[in-house]
Amino acid sequence: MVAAIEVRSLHHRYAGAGDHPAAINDVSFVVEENQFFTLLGPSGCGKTTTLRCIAGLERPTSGEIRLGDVVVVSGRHFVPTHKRDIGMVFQDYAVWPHMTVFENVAFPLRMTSRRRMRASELRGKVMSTLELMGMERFEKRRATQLSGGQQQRLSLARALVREPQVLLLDEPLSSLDARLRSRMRAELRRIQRQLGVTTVFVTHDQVEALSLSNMIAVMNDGDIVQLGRPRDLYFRPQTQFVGNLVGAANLVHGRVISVDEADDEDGTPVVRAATLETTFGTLRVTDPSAEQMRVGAECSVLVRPESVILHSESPERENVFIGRVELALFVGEAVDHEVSIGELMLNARAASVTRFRREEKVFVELPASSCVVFAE
Amino acid sequence: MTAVEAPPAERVPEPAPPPRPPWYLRGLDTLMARRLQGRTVLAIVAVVILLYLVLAPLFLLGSTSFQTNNDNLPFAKGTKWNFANYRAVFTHGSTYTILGNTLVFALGSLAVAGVIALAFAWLLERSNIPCRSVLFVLVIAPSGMPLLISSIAWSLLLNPTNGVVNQVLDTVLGVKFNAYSLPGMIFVMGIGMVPLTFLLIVGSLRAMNGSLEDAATTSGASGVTTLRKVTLPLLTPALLAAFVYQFVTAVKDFDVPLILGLPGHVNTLSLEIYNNTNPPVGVPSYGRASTYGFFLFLLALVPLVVYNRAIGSRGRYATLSGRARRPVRVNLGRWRWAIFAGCIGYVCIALLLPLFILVWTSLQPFYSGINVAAWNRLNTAGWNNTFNDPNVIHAMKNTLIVGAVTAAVTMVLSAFISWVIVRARSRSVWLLDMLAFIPHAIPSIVLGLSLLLVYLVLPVPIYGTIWIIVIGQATLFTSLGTRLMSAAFAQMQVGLEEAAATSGAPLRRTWFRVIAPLIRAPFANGYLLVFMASMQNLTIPLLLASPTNTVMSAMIYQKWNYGLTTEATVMCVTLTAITITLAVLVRGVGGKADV
Ligand SMILES: Nc1ncnc2c1ncn2[C@@H]1O[C@H](COP(=O)(O)OP(=O)(O)O)[C@@H](O)[C@H]1O
Ligand SMILES: [Mg+2]
Repeated sequence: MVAAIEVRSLHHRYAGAGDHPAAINDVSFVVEENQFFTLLGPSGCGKTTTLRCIAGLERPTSGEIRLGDVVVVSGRHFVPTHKRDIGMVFQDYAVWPHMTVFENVAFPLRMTSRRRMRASELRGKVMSTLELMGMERFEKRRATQLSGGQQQRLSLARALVREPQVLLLDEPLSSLDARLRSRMRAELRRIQRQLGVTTVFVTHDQVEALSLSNMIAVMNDGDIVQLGRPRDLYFRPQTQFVGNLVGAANLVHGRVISVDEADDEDGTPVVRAATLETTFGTLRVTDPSAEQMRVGAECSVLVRPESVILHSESPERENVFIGRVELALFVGEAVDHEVSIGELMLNARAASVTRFRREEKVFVELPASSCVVFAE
Repeated sequence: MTAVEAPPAERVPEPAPPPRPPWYLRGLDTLMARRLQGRTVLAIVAVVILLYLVLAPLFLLGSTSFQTNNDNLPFAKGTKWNFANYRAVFTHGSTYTILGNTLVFALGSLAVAGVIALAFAWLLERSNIPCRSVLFVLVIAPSGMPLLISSIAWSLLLNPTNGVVNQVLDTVLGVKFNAYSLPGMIFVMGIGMVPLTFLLIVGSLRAMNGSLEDAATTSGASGVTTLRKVTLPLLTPALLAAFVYQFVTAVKDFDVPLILGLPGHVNTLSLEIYNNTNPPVGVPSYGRASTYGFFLFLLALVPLVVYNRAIGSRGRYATLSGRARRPVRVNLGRWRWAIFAGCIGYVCIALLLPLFILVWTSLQPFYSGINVAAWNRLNTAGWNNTFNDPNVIHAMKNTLIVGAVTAAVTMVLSAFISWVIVRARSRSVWLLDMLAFIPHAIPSIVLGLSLLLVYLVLPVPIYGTIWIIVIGQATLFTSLGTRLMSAAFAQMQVGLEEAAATSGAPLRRTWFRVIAPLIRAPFANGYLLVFMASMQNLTIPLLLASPTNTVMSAMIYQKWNYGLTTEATVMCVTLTAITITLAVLVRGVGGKADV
């Protein structure tokens, strides 16, 4: 089976950008049929540029792009946007203010079909797409008479109506307010799974990326720095950058004093483990990536706040340190703590029933299997 | 799933950039790579049309200035190529007088217009002067009166023989002004430039975020300090832009020198060009005229180019949201009504007095100032005669046709050019940008002369028809049109067009279905503005006049020149009424600008 999208060695430099570095350097990835593929990264890292190259709105300086078995970009060969089988949702919706909701959605059908589609057939398609979005009531409204969320749905309906091979979404949720955003997020996922349309999604929001995607490509400065499933990225980031990007993180510095083998929690695979010397004592970590660790190497350790366990009494296990609660913030679904261990400050997230007072002494556990080690 | 490809280890850090082709192939390379793209075709068509409209006349102007022959015609038999014209111009003492006159005239009118416009802008935007919206309309209303007509009106009011104002001043104070002098010209030009100067300044003052000024006040700055330290510095780029623009307007002007300078023997560059192409005796001296034309072109071009360089190309199309909040208005206290009365006084001088004298004169069999005898002579015979004259009716028809066609051609061309300028991200856009900008620096007298030369040489049979006027005016107004349309495109989200492309629409259909409907309002607005400018324009029709292609403005001048004062003022009043109506329409359409 051919992949739905194949991007190879994509490189793009904007014409007007002077001697700025290229917007994207050397990006390659493959998106399988029906996949929800996300480009995640901080602002300016080249996500939009990559997406626009796929859409044909930018012509990459070099590289190759294939949609299904059609090569759309390769050397001199370039298929213009309107001949690509795509649907795209823009960050600012881009619904046409001079057309009604119906006209907006009907537009792609009128452009595509070689023969003139029968009015009833066209109407059927438009209405069923609008129904999918729950927008059929607004059919006759002008696009300008819609709320932000409705414009967003309309924009999605327009992108989907001609059943494109590939759906491209550029930060579609970022202009919505928080509540609407989480609702639309769920809806987006439902619709994508229901239609099974291959989707490339661009976002700088890690929650959106983790919750929606089958596969995430993390970008930085025009490069893909890690490609993986949401859980892999979250629990096993390969770099500090990725670790910080996909969620809150504590970072601890240390030096490797010994390296050995250990059993993983479920006992089966044997992984490398290491003991580190830190400012507050020795820390044991079990991490497959610690393989490259050598004795004496400086490294940093990432622990997610929700992996940090706070005890009021010592659990008598490894990696437990005595600390003090500096701040406890009850945020509803959890309590966020700031805990000091000597000089070191750590964030710890605990269940909402937890009650530690300020300045209370606590036993802080950093479970060895939740620690991720990066060489420095 | 086998999605993971190209692991980091394999990646080349920085791929070798594709080799840069030599400069002369770069454009070609882009062209061939994009040969299928509609926007490239559009860009090329736009460049070719502009090259023809803009560069052909300038080329002929330039080359004519280096030619001498017995017929004084460009490219005639026995043409010698030399610097004779330049030598003649440079060694002639009057050239320096003319240059001095032109500069004094331009700077003087700029000072008059700048001071009045700045005062009005501050009063209307930052003070609590009463009846602001009425004042606003009254300040810009004189823009409905072409300079040709206001010059005629002021000639009637301030001529030393029987000017009405002079009669009054002579009786009361024993002094007289002379309209046919440099101060007279400066006064008329200055007053005439107030509306546009005001609009340019007030726009930027309004767009300026008031919180910046309020922040100064809350930091302890007094009203005057705020004005000096915050408002004016922030406004400086906009003020400079307005002043450079208006300086060039005055340098280029031909109407005021023609009506007031010619009888007073105050020569400016524009007038000198005219005198050389239409000498009172003898044959036209096109070589000499072209040389002066070239000077005038440079005098207009240099300030604009220097200024554009200074602000960079970025600021030119900058549009502001217009949602900026206004700061607290300064309380004028007990001076409030006195200042208001002063403003009304200005409006009387700038608008009502000229209108009144035109109407009065149009109702007189001959002009003799205002007195009892004249009061008894009031009648409408002049109106009847004028409107029964088939030549006048023909001129009116011509005016409407020229205006309608010019506006259509200009706006369609401008829309495409602006779209390419704003949307194309090609590096060669600067060429188009420059070509669309140059007409603004070409004085209409120079363009008129150049077109005369082009169609004397080119075997296209449009010489003496209204179509040569259409071509001239379309060239002239393209920079106005592209300014308007570029602003419109800059405000229109590019996503709306890209969404059409991702929906499968080729460029042609994107234009018809998305772009055209969305730019309807600014397009209509621009159409009316160009229509108005076309009717007000005297220079092009006058220079390219023939018995059959006369339009109203040219006919007004001809009648005025022959001393047919009554008929001239009848047509002045008619033309002013039409252009003021158009001005109101422009505002009406502008109000409905958003879809
Ligand atoms: N039209 C453009 N011209 C020049 N540079 C651009 C243009 N668009 C984006 N860039 C630059 O390219 C880089 C990547 O931009 P973009 O792909 O929009 O980032 P992202 O979508 O990840 O925020 C940025 O450094 C940006 O400044
Ligand atoms: Mg982006």
